[in-house]
Amino acid sequence: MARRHVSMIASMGACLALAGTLVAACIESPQTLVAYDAVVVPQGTGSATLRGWNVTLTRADVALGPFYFCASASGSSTLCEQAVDEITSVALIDGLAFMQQALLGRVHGLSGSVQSAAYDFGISWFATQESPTPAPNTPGPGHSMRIEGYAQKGTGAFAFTADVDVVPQYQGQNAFPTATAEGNITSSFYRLEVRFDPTGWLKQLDFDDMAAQLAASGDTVFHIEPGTREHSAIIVGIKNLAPMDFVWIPLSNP
Amino acid sequence: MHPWISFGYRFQIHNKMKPCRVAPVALAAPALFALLLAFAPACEGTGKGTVQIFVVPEDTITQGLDPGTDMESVQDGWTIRYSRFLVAIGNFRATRTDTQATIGDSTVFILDLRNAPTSGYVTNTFTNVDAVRWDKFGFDMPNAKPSNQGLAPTRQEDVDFMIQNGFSVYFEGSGQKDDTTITFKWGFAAGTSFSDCASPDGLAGFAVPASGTIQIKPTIHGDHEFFDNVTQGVEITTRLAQWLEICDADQNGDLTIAELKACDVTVALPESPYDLTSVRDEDGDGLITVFDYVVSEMRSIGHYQGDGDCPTRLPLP
Repeated sequence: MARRHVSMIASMGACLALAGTLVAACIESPQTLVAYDAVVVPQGTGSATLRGWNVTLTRADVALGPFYFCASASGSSTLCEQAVDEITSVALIDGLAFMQQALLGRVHGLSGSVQSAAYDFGISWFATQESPTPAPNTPGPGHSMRIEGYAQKGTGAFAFTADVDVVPQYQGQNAFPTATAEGNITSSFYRLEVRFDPTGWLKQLDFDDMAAQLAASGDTVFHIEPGTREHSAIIVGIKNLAPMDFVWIPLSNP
Repeated sequence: MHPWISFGYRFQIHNKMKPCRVAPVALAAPALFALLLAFAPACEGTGKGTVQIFVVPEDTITQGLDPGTDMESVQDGWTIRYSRFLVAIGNFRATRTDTQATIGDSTVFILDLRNAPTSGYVTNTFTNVDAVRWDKFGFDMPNAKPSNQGLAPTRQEDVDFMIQNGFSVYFEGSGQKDDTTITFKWGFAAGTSFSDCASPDGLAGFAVPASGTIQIKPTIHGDHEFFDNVTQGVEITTRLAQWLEICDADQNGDLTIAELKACDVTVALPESPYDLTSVRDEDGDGLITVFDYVVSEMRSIGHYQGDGDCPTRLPLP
């Protein structure tokens, strides 16, 4: 009888231990509120050889934000209804300020893993808005970016300007609905670096065709505006050929 | 039952948690017993069930797409029909996050989806599976390899064709609008794994009923190359096919892979209405062409239980 009782207690104890383990397993480390700075870090020199043309940028005013960082592998609004971290503001930055790290905004949210991002270029289309709406501080105003520069090939050269609108495709989505962004934020002692090369955004442009169009029209400056083939090419550069990188830099505790 | 169907010899279960016997102590320690009951899944019962994997084609593969104004139709007036649609698919796998137990079968099949059986291809049957929720389900659509197998009524010559070319997907068909018909015969080595599958109502994986059978249906979609974006999650999109005619550079009524690679997206798929986010430079030519767009769409055709999504997609060799 005593032995049976001991056996019962031992069995019960084993299962209680297992239950205790499961309780511990079910309780995740608590997430903590975090807040840290995000800065933009333009890459390159502002010059590049693109499709046989030497291209130099003289101006790249870019509206960036808001940004949403998600725990899910996709930042799509249907898969990431709630962000882990976010920058809710829009900043107007100089994409050619290579020696500076301009403040993009303050990131607010929770500690945890980030696997994707979704963001806008100053023009958002929230579920509560009837149409895409630019932030007040966008270049133009009303555009996502203003780019100016010149292209040279052999003895040929021409200047160009671009007013670029990066617009969400559908209401409730971001202009860049999902992007790779991997980080594990454990505290507020981080700095988020948003890196991009603005000359990379021009990789899809057909400079030969632009030069031919200028020669045919007699104009001296090629103006790229929304709705044109060249505007679509810049959007492809921004989204597909030279998308922004997100790097979380841990900082030492002060 | 077809002899290719997996019973046992390819069936693997790795349950890392042993069952726990509970002593009858309810009267002596009711509170502790209640605690044990609360964690009954850990000291789980003996319920077992069966999992059957059916690979099914979406209606767009077997019946095509029609022009129209409703969401599922091609909005710009094109009629799409497939005459041949082959895929490599397999490595079906499921995991329980709570115990890390897995079931799976690494076999990859070559299947003719245009001529699929009415209820689809039964590729696997897993028996004696714990009757719980298996919250992680995934599968592969890799580039075809010599070890891959056919399932009737897929013809052996189709299996050989896919393996010789290393395609993950191949299809032939046509688009027709008014007096214009564009034919196409395209194969792609767009090997992709699809993971974290969830049913259309958002439930992750599947639940095995005790003493019953759950039917799992990886579903291959046939309309993604006509989307206006690369969808993730809910398919919020419009179907358009005018690019078929735009890219037919020699205007001979047959659109080739070479023409796709030369077709500029800024002309054929302009930013409005298209959003090319997630389209990659698949052929490494430094530009985004319609070929890159179609390949990227081919990496998204694997779905789950109809319109359920498998949002974690990774390239496979």
